[in-house]
Amino acid sequence: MSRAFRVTVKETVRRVIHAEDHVRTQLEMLEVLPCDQMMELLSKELVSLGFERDGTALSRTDGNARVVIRLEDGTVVVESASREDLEIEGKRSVRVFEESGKSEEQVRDLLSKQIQADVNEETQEKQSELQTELTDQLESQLADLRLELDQACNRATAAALKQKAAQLGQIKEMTEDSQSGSLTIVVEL
Amino acid sequence: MQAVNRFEFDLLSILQSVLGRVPVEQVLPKWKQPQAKPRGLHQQTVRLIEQMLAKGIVGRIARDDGWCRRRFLRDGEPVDGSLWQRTSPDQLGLTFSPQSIDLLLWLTSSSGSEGIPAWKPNPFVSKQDVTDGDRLIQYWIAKAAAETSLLTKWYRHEPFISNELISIALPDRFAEVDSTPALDFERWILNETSWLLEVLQNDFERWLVRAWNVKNRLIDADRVLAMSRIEDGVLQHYLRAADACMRPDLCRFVLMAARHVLHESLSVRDWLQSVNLNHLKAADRMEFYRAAATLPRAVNQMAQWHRNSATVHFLDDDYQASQLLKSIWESMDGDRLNQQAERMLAELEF
Repeated sequence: MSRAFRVTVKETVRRVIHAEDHVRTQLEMLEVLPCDQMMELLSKELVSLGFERDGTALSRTDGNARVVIRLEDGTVVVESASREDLEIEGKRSVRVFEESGKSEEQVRDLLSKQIQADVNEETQEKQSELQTELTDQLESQLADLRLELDQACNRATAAALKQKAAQLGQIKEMTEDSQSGSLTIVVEL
Repeated sequence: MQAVNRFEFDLLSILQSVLGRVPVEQVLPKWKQPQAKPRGLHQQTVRLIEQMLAKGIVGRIARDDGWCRRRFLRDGEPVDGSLWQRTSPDQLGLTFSPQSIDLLLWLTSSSGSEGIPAWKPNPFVSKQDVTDGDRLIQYWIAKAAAETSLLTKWYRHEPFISNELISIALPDRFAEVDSTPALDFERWILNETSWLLEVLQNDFERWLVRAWNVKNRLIDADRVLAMSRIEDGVLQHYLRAADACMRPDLCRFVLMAARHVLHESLSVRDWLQSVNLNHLKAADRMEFYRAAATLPRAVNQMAQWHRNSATVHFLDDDYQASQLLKSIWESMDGDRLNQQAERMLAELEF
């Protein structure tokens, strides 16, 4: 008659998972005035939106996302990163018959390896979930950011047009429609 | 009453379905059933094929779109009327090379669904001998096959793979078998059989609408991306060719399709919401959306043509073409469509 015994292994594993994502785009502006003047006008608009200037770069942090705008070439980079501390508990148990010839230590090793595999799988799943969540969040922020940046560019262009018109002659009339974004300037040369 | 053998009877039945005289479903068992290919056909059968082609093609073209009153360019001037009014019937003739008979023999003898033997071109028919009539038959065969969701493997084979009509009307099929479609649209537009592109406008429109709706239902992002890239390549080549040949009227189908699918307040993300993008990072998602927006991009391109047409003067060569484009644009409410297209494209700017 063979005797059976049950071996149970329980392990708690701590892991840190990271997710990051970024997108890059280019701001497009009409060169109404020389490049450095256009940069200054845009910079002014961006600072009013909460960006901080550091040399020719401006940056702002929105939640997980950090927006960096390089004025010299109009590049916009939005980076987002997130991390999560995981505590995963794994438990495995098996009934072993004495006649199988396996010692308790061997069985424990085997179960421990299985738990490691389970933990790795779960970590992978959590990692994917975190990445998807981060990307979804970043994607939803982009629509608002695009609108904000477009408006800043439009305002900077309008300011540049006013300056240019003033250089050309005397401004007689100026009509601005904030809804359609149209600007009409009548200049007497 | 003429007697034909079993094989010839099946071949003639398949031809009848290709010409739209009997439903494809009715002859499907004959397509699926492999048969030994005979060394040749009896002379009376060849005569019957000739008669069927002569009458059947006219009938099918008339039924498809030939009867409709349309406006297209002829030698740079807009001409109104049905196909027969726009082009004199003696210029509407199509010729056929022995390749069409070979193709029918191959179809009748091959099993349609699996393990079809490769198409072996007739050594006595060079590529240059293949006519637009042959290509039209190939196109109708491919279309009938596509409608029954069978025979996707055909697209790996010559002559289907080198037929531009199939490329533009069924581009998604090429994505399914990872093939590259033929893109020499300029040859078609400049050819005297360019009237075929006019009568197939409804087919092309249906393809665009179908492609749009398919993407709306699919889940696999890689599949949608592969489809979109092929569609975009085909459509962009076609538009460039039409523009270069001053035939914007041959792109009417783009606006016809857009009228069906570009609705106010529809966003790209809503349209593609069933596609699983969870595994893609933000930049790849943007790339995916951009690739999928084939139709808005095409409409936007036509809007650019429309804007350019305002600068064409009475004495310019393309004055009539641009006037016709203006009238098509207005009749299809092009400004509204372009507004929707621009809104969708703006979403993808980041």
